[in-house]
Amino acid sequence: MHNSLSICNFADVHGYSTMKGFKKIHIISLIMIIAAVALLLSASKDMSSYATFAQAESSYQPVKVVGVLAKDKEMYYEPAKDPNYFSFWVRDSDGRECKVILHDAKPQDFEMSEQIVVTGKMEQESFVASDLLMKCPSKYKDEEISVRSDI
Amino acid sequence: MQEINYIGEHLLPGKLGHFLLVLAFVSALLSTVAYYFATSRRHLQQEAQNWKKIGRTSFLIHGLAIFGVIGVIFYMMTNKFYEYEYVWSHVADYLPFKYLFPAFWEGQQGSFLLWMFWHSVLGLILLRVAKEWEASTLAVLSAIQVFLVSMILGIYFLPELRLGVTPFALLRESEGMIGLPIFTNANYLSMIEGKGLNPLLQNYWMIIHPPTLFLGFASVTIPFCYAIAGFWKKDFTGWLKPVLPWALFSGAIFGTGILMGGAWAYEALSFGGYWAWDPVENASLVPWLILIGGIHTNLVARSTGHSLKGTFIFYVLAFIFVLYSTFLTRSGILGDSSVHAFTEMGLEWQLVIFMAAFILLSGGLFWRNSRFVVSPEKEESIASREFWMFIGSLILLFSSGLITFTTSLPVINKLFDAWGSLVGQDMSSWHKASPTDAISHYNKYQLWIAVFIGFITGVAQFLIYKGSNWPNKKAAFIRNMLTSLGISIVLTFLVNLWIKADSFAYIILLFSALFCISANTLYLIKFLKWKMKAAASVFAHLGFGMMVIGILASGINKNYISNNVFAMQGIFSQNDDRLHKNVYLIKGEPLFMGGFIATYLSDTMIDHERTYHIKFDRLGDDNQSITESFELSPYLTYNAAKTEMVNPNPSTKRYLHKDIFSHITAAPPRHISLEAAKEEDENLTYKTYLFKLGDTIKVEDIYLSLTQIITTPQHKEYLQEEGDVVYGAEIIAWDSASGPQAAYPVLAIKQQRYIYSYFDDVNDLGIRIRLTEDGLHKLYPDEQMLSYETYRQKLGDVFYFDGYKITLSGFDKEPVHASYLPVEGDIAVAAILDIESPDGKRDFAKPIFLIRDNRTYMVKDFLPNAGLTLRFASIDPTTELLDLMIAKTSMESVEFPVDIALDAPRDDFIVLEAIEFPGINLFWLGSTLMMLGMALSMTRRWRKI
Repeated sequence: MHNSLSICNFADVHGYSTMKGFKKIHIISLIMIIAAVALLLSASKDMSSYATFAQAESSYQPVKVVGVLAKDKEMYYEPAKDPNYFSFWVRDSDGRECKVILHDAKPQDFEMSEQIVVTGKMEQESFVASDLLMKCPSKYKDEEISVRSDI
Repeated sequence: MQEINYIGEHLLPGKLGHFLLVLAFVSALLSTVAYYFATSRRHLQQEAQNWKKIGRTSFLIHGLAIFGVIGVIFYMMTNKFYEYEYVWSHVADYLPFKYLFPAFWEGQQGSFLLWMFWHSVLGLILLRVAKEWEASTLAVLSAIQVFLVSMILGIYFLPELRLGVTPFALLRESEGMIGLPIFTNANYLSMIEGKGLNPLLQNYWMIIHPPTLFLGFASVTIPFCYAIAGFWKKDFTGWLKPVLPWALFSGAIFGTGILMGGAWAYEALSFGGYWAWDPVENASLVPWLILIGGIHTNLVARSTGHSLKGTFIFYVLAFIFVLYSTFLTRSGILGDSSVHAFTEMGLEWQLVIFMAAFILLSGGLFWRNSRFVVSPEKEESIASREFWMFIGSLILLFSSGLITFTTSLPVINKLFDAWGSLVGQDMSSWHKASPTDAISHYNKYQLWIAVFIGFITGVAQFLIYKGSNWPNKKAAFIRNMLTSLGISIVLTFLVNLWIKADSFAYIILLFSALFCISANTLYLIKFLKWKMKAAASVFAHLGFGMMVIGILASGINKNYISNNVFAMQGIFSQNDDRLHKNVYLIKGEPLFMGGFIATYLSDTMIDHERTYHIKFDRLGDDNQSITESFELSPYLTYNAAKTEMVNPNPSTKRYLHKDIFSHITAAPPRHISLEAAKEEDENLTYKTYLFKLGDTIKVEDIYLSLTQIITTPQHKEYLQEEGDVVYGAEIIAWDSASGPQAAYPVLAIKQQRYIYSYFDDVNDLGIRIRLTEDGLHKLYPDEQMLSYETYRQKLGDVFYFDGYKITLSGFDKEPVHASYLPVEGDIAVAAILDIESPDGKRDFAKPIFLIRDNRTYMVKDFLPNAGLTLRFASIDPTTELLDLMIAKTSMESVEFPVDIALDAPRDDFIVLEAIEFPGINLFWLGSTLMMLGMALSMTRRWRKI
């Protein structure tokens, strides 16, 4: 009973829309979808790409390099000389080590980082980073059992 | 392998907890089935009624089981049952009770439980109020609970197939722990201590933010349940009214949860802002935006019958995006792009199935039943309110789409890889990384969204539903629009005198926000006539406009005042336009920066916090006069053992129109960790120099003089305790360039065993000075070398010894002395001797006469600068005469060893970042108003049900 009534209505509505074609709302939705696709296409120009230092050398665009901190190389931060200059060495996935310069203070727990993602460009011999993301093994979560100190 | 009978383990709570979890799972399943039949067989009244009863009971049991599980975990946590992995991972002995809550929801299982807790609470309310919608909505909610409980069930179906990760796993049986040698010890429990809560999370934000946010997440589920229920029962309009207060509640509480996250980031963390477009932040913003869209289409559908399908889609999408957000933050997929995602737990596939199930359910239902939806014949007119509300909702959806796309890049990369592995091709060259400048990427697009929303909210208020009677209202509408436009143009000009936006886009945004404010205010005055009850939407939209202005003001004019242009000149090459965010401050040395003179005054260590006091003097336009002074005190927090700094905390000076935010970006290594301090000490080359009192010696180019030995020394790190043997020295150092500066090193022997050397620095000369134990032996003369003279005196007597005028001025019946530890039953009395040296210096000594176990003892006192040793030898109780023994050592001949390092790094500096955020209060005020508007609307509609 209920069903047949609905189907009846459905036919009405259906007839109505085919008669008049698209509604304004539909047209606007369509425009928006097109605009969204266009914007997304243009937005994808904003996206950077992952690269190695070798690829970064040949790129004029800023890139992201994923690597690890080369712990045997010098890590330089002398706030007395310049509080906005921090340099360190990163080893990328090809095993190449490159000096990275960050024009900011040295991030907290930097030595602990397991993996580093640096965003920036090559300038001469070094990679100048505009942004840095560290993945820390989370020093509070190491898989060691801490034994009570008083025993 | 031999079974070990472990000592002290409490296995019962774990078993109980596991049982409750299984019960929660089964009861949710049963509730789903029962409520399903109660809905699908609703035409068979009696049967449906019976099903409903079963569903109700099951859901009740389910809710109680969930509360029980949480109760058991709390019980285990309060009692520190470290045999459980979850307790061990998140709790520690030192953790105060209030941090058990954050410890509980710090982990994945706990946060799932928090989510389920709110679902249960909301479900129980729904059960009471939903009436004819009870069975259908709770069937959906129960099904969701089935999936959620499965995330923490921890049951193996096949050897490789585990459903969920249980919070009741034993430590010795959990991954990475099995086979560790410590577990061969039956008494291992007495040896272990929990890892405790990440200190970054030990603050009150972590207590209030997660419950609010998860209530937000959970509340999005209810509109979803109603939407599914409506389409399932083909009652396409009946649910629109009861769902509305739930949706509004969700909008308000979810929004508040997100805002709290922003406030936390701004107040307590050093992110330097309230919003960073971090993927995790975006993941919660997107469902909220969609939900807000849904609320608007819901209103449209209620009033006009349009946008019914839209409302379904919006509410479904909001929920699906909550699940997607859960997937993003909990699967570990954001590892490369976000700072605060959870770590992996191996639940990825389960989460994907969870999402897929509800996408299929909603999609299938829509596909099957949406053709039965009756839409009004007449389409929305452009002059109707619903038209613009729907457009606004579409724009919100559009905004969500853009945000989601960029946030999902890691997912898209994974999809490329999946495709690549299907066709056997390496797709890694297709991978895209998040934008190099994420913030400006998002802002660029979202700015125009905000512009549209601002205009539409202003316009739509003055239109009415169905555009009825438009020809007659047209003139008034145009008049009101023109008034609002006029006011907002003037306001844009005025406000921009303050904001100073210079780009076209910013000015348009400002104009749109002000139009939103003017139009809504006009509407409040002219149409609502200040009737606050009806003004909920006005408040919410006014709030939006204010928030946008706050974002603009604080974003455009965010100003690094820690930018010392003068000091930087010359250091950097020519046209250096980089932002210098940090300044280097030396204690006591004022530095000019960004219109201020900043002076690092001092640092103090109290408990687990080291606070740096920095004075800011604002300079007037002439750069000379000081117009205002205030102090900011950013601080570092340390871990429980105080071995490591865990978090730099900002300090903010608040004005009505702006904030000045500061935090420490670098501090001396020895302030950061004990390890760094040790390393620094090991790298120093100390040499021992011998000083006679009053001597000056030259080391390289530096002159040093030992001017005083101090028996009651003070040092900021030394805490005097009874029984300490301690001495300090005053050493003056200078060179040809800088004038004399004093250092006060201290050496203490505690409990007659532990030697503590508290060094002191002369930072300008790069020298560090410490005292040695040898010095202590030098200081206290060898008893055999002394020749005492005895004086018999009584109270008030004055006598002379070697030119010193000595007065016996009194007695101390409860003497305190470095080398005297009182024991019960002691009879101890000290003679108070005032001593005036030949050159007029005053001092006092307190030698002690002691009777312990019927034997007499003397505790001598020593005045190092004078070289006097004093003893209280005996007392005659009848005559009240004392025997005092005095000896003198010639201090001139004693050579004190002092360790001096000439290559000490400074420990009196900080690197500071200070940022000015103008208009940030407009952001907080506006966003709060938005939430209040929704809450007000909710309470009104709740009463109408």
